Amino acid sequence: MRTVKPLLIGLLACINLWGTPSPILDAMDAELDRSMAELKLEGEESPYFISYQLVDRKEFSTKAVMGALMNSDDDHGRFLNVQVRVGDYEFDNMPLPEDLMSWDPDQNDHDNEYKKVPVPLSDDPAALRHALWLLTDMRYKWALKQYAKKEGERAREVEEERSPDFTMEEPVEYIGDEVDYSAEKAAWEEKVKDYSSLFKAYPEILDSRVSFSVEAKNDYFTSSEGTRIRQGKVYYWLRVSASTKAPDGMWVRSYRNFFGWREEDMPSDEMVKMEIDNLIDEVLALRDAPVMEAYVGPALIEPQAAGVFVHETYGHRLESQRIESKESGETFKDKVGTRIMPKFVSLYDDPTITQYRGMPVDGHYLYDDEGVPSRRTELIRKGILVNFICSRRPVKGFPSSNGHGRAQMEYVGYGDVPVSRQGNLILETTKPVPFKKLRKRLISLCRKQDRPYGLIFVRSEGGATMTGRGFMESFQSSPLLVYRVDAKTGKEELVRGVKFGGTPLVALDKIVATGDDPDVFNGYCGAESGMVPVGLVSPSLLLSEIEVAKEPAGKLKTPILSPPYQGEEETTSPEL
Amino acid sequence: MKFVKALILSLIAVCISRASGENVILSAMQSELNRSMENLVMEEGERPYFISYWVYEYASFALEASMGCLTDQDDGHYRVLNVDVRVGDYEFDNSGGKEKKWWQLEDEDRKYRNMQVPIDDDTVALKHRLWLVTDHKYKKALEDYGNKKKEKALSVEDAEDTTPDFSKEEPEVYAGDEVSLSIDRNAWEQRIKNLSKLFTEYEDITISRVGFKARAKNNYFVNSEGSKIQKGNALYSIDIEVQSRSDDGMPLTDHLKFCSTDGDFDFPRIEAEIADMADRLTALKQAEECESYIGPVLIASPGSGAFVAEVLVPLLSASKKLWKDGGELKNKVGQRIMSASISVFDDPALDSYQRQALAGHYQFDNQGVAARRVDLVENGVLRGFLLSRSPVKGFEKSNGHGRTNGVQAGNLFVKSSSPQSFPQLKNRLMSECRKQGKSYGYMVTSALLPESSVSGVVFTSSGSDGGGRPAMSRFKPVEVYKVYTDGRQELERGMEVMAGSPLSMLSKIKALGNDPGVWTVDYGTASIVAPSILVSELEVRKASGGEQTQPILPAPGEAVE
Repeated sequence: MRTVKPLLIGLLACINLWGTPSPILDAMDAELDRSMAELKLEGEESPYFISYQLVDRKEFSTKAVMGALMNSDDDHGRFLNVQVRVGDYEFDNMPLPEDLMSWDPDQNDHDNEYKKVPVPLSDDPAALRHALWLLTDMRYKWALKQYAKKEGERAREVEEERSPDFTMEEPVEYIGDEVDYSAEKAAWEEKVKDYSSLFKAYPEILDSRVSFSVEAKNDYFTSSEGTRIRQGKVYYWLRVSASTKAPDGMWVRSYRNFFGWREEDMPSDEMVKMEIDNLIDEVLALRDAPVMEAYVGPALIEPQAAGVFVHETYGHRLESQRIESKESGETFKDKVGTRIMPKFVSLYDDPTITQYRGMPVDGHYLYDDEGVPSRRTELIRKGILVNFICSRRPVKGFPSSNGHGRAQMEYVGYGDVPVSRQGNLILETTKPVPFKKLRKRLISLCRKQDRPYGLIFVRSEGGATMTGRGFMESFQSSPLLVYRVDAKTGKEELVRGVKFGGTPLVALDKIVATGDDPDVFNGYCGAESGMVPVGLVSPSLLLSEIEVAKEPAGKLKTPILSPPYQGEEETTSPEL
Repeated sequence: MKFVKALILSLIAVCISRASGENVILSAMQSELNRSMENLVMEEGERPYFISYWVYEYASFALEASMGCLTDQDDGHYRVLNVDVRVGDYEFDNSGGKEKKWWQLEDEDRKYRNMQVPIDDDTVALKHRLWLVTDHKYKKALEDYGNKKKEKALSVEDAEDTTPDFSKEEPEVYAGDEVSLSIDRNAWEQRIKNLSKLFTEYEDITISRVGFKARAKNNYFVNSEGSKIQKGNALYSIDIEVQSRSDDGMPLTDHLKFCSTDGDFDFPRIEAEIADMADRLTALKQAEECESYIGPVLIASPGSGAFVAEVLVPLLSASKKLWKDGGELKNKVGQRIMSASISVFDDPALDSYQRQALAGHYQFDNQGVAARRVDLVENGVLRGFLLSRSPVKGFEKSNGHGRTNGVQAGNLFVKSSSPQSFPQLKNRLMSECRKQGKSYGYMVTSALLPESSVSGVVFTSSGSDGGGRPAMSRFKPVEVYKVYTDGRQELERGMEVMAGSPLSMLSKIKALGNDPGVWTVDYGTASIVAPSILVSELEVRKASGGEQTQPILPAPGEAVE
């Protein structure tokens, strides 16, 4: 008996040493335990919940224009997100969903103080604990203030049935590998220069850029409920965009984005160059295309645009914080168990997958930003609403999270409180129809509705769904590749200036048929908890009716002079 | 004819430029500039009478450490393009309109303002962007010019203001060095980690940062008057910022800044100053709060530079735009504006003072005008202003101070013909108090740099809670002493100085010390060299904002042991 005990202890020590070799998590746990045990302001409540998340972000990005390098940047940053809750699971200090976006000068001061605390880039436990100590103290005091304010508001307002503030969840432990990227920086600089030089021959394309970025993100999460997580992901992106001005001053734009989890997922040189050639043709065709007028009628949406369409029209409305928020439409509040889409259509969100039919999807994660395991969640089964996209803020009838509490944790003060967000939103059909047939049905719908033409949407970036994080990426209007199909002749004509945001299109009878051609759109989605990667999957959709508005034209016309002479250095020959 | 003219232009350019072969960026800029001057014209619109291109290259390397650990690292390298296109003529052109706020701008204005250009010397994309931005700026210039003409027709003629919109200047041709950074990353990481570790000894200092930043700037400039300039310079700096908190919750912050043009720093001195600052802040924690007061104040060097930046520099900067709402010294040239012992001048040509680097050193300003020494105040008499190419009455030419944010100082010196030692100044402070019937005066012995990141939320009381009168924003005392007329002195904290009445402030500067110090301002682009300053009357009050109670738990380090 005596010999067994030391052996057991030795075994435990081994597990401790080799099972979770994470000085970061250990330091976080030590400070978390101390705070839970001792942090209390006299006469006030102790925290009932604390979580720490450390996000380590390493990024390399490089960009080229017309064969020349614009920048090449290395970034390494660490961000600490400390959540302190006072009260209890029923009622605590955390702001209501509708208050997340409102401007509060006190909150702003608090966030500024928070941002002053330096976070060590190395795994030094003492420095990390020092930072956590200060941040926990700040957040605790702020939580007490929020709690008092929220209690006051509750006392004033009319009694209303509200779900609890925080769900109960089982603690989890997951220690994944730490990740790093392996991209040859100089080689990628050469690649983006090489790709972008294809635009040299087209000076009439006023703006073009090719960028590559790779981001290694390691996440460390620990909470007072006993959850301990370490997970890492690497994102590779190659982005090409081109824009120019139509003769009336309207900007037209198109792009190609390539996403992968590994460097090998990046497209071959031949493929990129082929796509750039297509992109150039596309932008020049758009420039010369007629302007679309406002229109109501049938439309066929190809998969990539359909993914964005479903994300905007259904996805966001199924996010749980919009179900019980006074500010949101509460579109689907009492619709559970009823049909909201055609019978042959199902919709689910699945962050657990990294690929869909061999195509990488960027909305993958194992654990969400509240430490809850992600899971495949059926939202609409055979047309019937069965579930919502849920975080740890519950809604009536759905008392648990399904692992969709997400946030852009590195932006303190903006988007660091997780709310329910989509991961990989996937629309599937039991009635796949070949595209050719869908096109025929589009024309017959036009004839039936007595419309002169129908629309085909090929590509879109859609409203708030942007494909890049940068400001410059989004400065132009939502680019769309839209064709007008003549109802009589079936002839296709490219049009420009189509805006397809704000279409209140959730009525179930609008989707009349679906394609056999599911495809993936990878992008970033911006909402109250910042920008998060989302993968969108859909086949082509045939809609009986869609409404589009006209994009306003630009004020300034095309350049007066011809582009600079591109060949030898014999400049200044007038070319008026 | 057109062809011949272009040929002559380029011939001249070739003749003047160095035999060693011209810089490819400059020649790309020159060729696009020539093409635009020659051909850019809109139907029913005037041609540009002036175009300038300025490409600004910025390469930086930054590290930050706290408590012996690296906390941030950042490399940056970019080039941006600035284009000025003017229509009309030197007398009356499109310039000087109301500047729009970021959210008022159209997409294209945003796109073309500070447009990024490639960092390598492939000029196809550079020319392409020059072409686009020039076109955009030209159309905007025509629009602004039309609006300005209409406004002029409608407004009452300002008989006083007959100065031209744009000064005529001699073209400058200069080919200086191109600079680039070569940094021993590991060595610097170790150095700033070591410096940051010093703060672990001081448990009252809760937040501390030590930052190192190296900057290489290259400028490429051409204009249609024939200027062609290429120059580069490097600057290295160490910034140290700390925060503590008094027991009643007042934030206490302080900073140190060291600059160098060659990357050499006097580390023993930095370490000594860190120890001084840490002791100062620790002592401040125990000090009494400052109270409202009006009376004599002695400001010790180099923090006195902050006072000069707050009070003197804005008064001595002049441009049409600045004088629209300000211009307190408009018609005072040749008149006494301050004590006859005081002289003020600005000299961007100097790159160091008493072995300290001067960050305000440059050879040409952002309008391509050669920087020169300007006498601003001579023996108390106003002699001139810091000027750009936007002239003001009585000053038709620039003196090379048109910098990034309009008119800006380079290296501004404040000197006295009868300098006094610090003890002498302290005696003057006490006698001034007696004269005014005050039992004590104040002595400010250190000040905070307003742009330091620790100063963010601190001292926000001015105006934010309504009703409050504004406090000085560039002069923020840290360590202050109450000095009684009997010589006793008491340390105090949390002083805020009231702003207002700049002209009367000038006449209240009574004496200067013999201890000039260097104070670097405007994010390392300008220096103030000023001695200690005795002011006969300043109004101060207790600063507020950013209060928070002390951390509830002891620091983890103490708990672990």
